[in-house]
Amino acid sequence: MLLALDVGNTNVTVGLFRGAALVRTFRMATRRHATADEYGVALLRLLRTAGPGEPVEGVALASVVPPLTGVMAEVCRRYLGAEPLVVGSHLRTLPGNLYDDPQALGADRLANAVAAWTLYGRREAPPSGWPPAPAAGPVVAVDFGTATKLEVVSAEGVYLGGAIAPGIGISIQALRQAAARLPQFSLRRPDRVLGRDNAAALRSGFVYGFAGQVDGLVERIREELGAEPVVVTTGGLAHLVVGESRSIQHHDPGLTLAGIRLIWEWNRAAGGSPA
Amino acid sequence: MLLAVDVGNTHTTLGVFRGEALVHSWRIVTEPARTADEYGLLITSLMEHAGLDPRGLKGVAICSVVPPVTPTLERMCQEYFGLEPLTVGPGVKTGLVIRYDNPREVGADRVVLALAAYTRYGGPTIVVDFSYTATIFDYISRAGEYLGGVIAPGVSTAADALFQHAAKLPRIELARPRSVLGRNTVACMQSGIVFGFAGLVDAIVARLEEENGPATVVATGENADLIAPECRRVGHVDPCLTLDGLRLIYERNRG
Repeated sequence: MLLALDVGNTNVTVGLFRGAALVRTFRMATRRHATADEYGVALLRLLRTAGPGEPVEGVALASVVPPLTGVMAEVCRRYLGAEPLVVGSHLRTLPGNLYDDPQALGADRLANAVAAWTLYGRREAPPSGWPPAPAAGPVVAVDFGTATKLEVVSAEGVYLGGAIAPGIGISIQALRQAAARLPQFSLRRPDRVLGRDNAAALRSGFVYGFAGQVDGLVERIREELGAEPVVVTTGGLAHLVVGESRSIQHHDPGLTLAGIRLIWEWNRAAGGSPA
Repeated sequence: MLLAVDVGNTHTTLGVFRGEALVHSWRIVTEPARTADEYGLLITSLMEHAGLDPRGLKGVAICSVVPPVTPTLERMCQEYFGLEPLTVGPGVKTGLVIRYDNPREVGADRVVLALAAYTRYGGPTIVVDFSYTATIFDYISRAGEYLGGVIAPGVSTAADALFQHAAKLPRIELARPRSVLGRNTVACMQSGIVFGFAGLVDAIVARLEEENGPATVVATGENADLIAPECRRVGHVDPCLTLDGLRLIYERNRG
């Protein structure tokens, strides 16, 4: 089995893969000052709940929290007995990358771009091996996490650029802190757009507003590319928006983990096997 | 001259009118701890720096969404300008019918904006207020009734939240990027913030119009100049609409 670790600003998501199938997902809070021992013990406990299963043959790690990258690598060595493959632009990933400094593109964004283009790009046959064959058109990956992150990949698999927008969760928190008089409100489909009380007004603003945020970005991407992209979303907060958005075609909660898996498979010779 | 003061959650906007003309405006941070003396000295200095004689002030109009600041400003008006200010709240004639379930829930600033927008543009009108803290949409009917609105996060507040929460993201200048496709962190954030908020506004305006009928769309507030040009559904940009609304309400009540 492959263990994929996605270390994000809010959560550490752990995925267990049997081949291409994601068989278990776990989520732990991201604690910047946590030690390898704390995460190691927690991870082992989580893995035990997955049952005896097959042994872990490899570990791959994507991290956007610099202090924890080294900590997680240590966890892999000391608690899993494996040297992790750390996702970065130096590995076999997309056929091309137009980011000014490819190394500066976050590992999670790279993983999303890889998974979106490889698994959701329109092709006559599923891609195999590296590099995957070109798709029929461009692909956009949208990750609704702490920040809402978009990645745009061309049909040929070249990373064209992206956007980072304020995420749903932190925007709600920020608004509540800054405007204390505003009431609590539930995030569900509003009865109508025009609110006749502040809670309803807020509900409309968030549900339709964040759908509009991604629709507006996809619209401009479509205009700049002169082509219709395939749009796939992921991230913990996606479900709030997917129903109201006019441009989202696919929702894949395991997109980032799938991207980490693909990168590991394409780079198996380079590392990520038992020490 | 008339001094108009709009106290927002994060910023306070001030303006001086000579008749209908706004001769100068300023923006300061809203600080509940600021004293009447500090306000007095600050406003006097700002006016003098702009070549305006504070003794020429004949009236003050205030609207505030920060309750602790209001009595402090009222005290300042009395002590520094010898004036009793008009504070927009219950009992003040606005000429606006508010069709909110609980009309008192509508912040004074939105009432003021609605009045200014209806006076200048008629109805139906949608006002989009790009304040620091919240992006607020107000729908005013053909007959000048406040029908309700939508509240979304503010551009600056959301951008601040982005920098604070994400380990690898720097604090950036809010500006329109060259392309929606950012190829470095700063460009990606500018794209997400500017085009993302333009998309948010266009989507909400479109849905409001689908549901309630077509309307004139007016943008105001401190982030209007940044985002409104990128919106496809905003017809006018009027950054000082609230101050004008305060002038109108003052004239309606104090003659």
